[in-house]
Amino acid sequence: MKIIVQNLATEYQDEGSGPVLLFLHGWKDTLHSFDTLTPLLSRTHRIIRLDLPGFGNTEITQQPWTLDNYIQFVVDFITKLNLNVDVLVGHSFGGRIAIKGLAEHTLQAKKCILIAAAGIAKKQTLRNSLLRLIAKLGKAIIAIPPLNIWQQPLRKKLYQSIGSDYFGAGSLKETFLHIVREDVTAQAQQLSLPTLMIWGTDDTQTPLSDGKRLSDMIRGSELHVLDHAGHFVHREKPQEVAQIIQKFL
Amino acid sequence: MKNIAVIFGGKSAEHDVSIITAHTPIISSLLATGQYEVWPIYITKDGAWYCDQFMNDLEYFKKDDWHNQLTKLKTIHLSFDNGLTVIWPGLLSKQIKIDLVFPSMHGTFGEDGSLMGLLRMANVPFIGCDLFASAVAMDKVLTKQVLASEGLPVVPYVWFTKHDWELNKSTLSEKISHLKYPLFIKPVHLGSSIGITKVKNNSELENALEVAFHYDDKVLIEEGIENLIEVTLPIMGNETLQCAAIERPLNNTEFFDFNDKYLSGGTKGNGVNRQYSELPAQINDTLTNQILDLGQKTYRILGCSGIARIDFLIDDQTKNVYVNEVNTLPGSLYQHNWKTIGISNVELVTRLINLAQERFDSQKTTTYTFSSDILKQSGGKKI
Repeated sequence: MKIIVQNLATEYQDEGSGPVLLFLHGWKDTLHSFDTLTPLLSRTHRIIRLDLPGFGNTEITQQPWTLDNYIQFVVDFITKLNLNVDVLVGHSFGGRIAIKGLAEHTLQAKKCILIAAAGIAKKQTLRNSLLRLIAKLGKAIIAIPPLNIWQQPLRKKLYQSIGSDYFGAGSLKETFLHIVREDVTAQAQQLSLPTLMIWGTDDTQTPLSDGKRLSDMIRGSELHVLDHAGHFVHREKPQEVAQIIQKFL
Repeated sequence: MKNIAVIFGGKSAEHDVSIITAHTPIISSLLATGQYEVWPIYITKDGAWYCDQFMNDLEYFKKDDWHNQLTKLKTIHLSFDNGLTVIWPGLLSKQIKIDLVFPSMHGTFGEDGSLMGLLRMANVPFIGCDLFASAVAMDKVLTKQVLASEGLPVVPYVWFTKHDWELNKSTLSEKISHLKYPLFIKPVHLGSSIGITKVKNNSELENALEVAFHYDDKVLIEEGIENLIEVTLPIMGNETLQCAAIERPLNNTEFFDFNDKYLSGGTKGNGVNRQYSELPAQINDTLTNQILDLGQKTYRILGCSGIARIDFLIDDQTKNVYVNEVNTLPGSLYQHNWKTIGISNVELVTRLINLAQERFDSQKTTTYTFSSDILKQSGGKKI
């Protein structure tokens, strides 16, 4: 069903009754990311999930957005539906929204669940520095005619090979850059509410090492690691994830 | 070979559905006949017109960067001198005289009669309903008012504009309170179930109205039917009508929404999804006859021609039937339904072309002008 938030037609689903769990999906994903998880939790809880602007059936914004814009959008969505959120659940990009929003008290909840959350900057490893140097050199070389005719396809291949969503971001490219450039490490260190973290061992987009770093930053957080699961651990192992969540609640 | 232009896209919430309908079945079937040179005319959401025959392939519109590719093309010009001519401007200017137009635009600025008005001015034959039927059918309230005045059954409803709502909220709320919940809140001019909300009580009303007003300036609030069976009937013809099979959409959600209609077929979906329909609808003979009769009456009262689809609501307990909406460009022409009664896609588009030509020829015999000397007399002592 739809609701108007910030003059954007916003798709959301509201199922079950009980304490309120608000689910925020990841980048290039939709509320349907939680389709298999929802029925496992809606018997005891009210599950609300929405398509964030630019994804699924929610309208896209005219101007590029920042992380703060998305946080304010979630705040306005909560106000519009008159919700008291008990637990904020964020997957990947949704986790980024949850971390910053909760740390700065723009968003309020009693508990937080982060599933393969994004948002903490990569460590300055030798490999990363080397890749950056190669990218800069490559960019200069392929700008020279006639090599420049391969500029776009080569850049596309490069971004695909390092697992970046930049090229697939379409009209959200500017927004994507704003989002990924913002490091929420400082905010994660300020989080003080009970936080559950769920990660898959085979996650390549937000690797388990990120989960461990986040877990060290967030006081009193508990990290649950599921074997043989990737970035979409909640879709790959919904039963296990639901059990962990039920126990935490 | 005749030049036929298929016009699709446009400034409408149903823009993308229009692209699907244009290609499946219209362009693919026209090409299959081998009798037409097909010119796809695509109108962007901003209103720019483009035409290039590589757009005859639906795959073009599935590419990630097709919007960027499009901007490299020149927009076309149209000339109405002695018919419709498409002109590609520039040094290597080219032009094509169009013999026939196949409108494939859903919703505003297309299906609502706007495009038909343009084509009438251009004096070119076109497929499907004419301006008047299109304009009335696009307005769900006007449709109900016209049908009710002719004694056809419609469900109880209330309508108002955004301005009315802002000024007379209490009076309109009082009117709404006489309707029985659940209610359906609908933008008046949109199809494909866009912006429709089902509300179960008064507290949900305000948000639902805001959604409807997001898409339209005029909204319709109508009573939901208990024990509801929804059915739909595609009809083809000008004077002599042929009905397709009565079809019952089967949906798990609270109403048959945009995704049910166009996307739930997954990779096999080509427009309307067969899996979500009972075809033909399993209803008794009395209901079947009633729907066939009401469908044809509705088609004629609204002055439809070419093709249209009439939607009905049935109360399964009382067996009361209500005419709900009229769609003058059914998504993908409801090709799947016509196939069940033995009409292939090629036959469907061929028959629609013949019907368009028949209407165009018959309009030629109508006298639209009148000779008078009123101009000579104007400005004189007396007229």
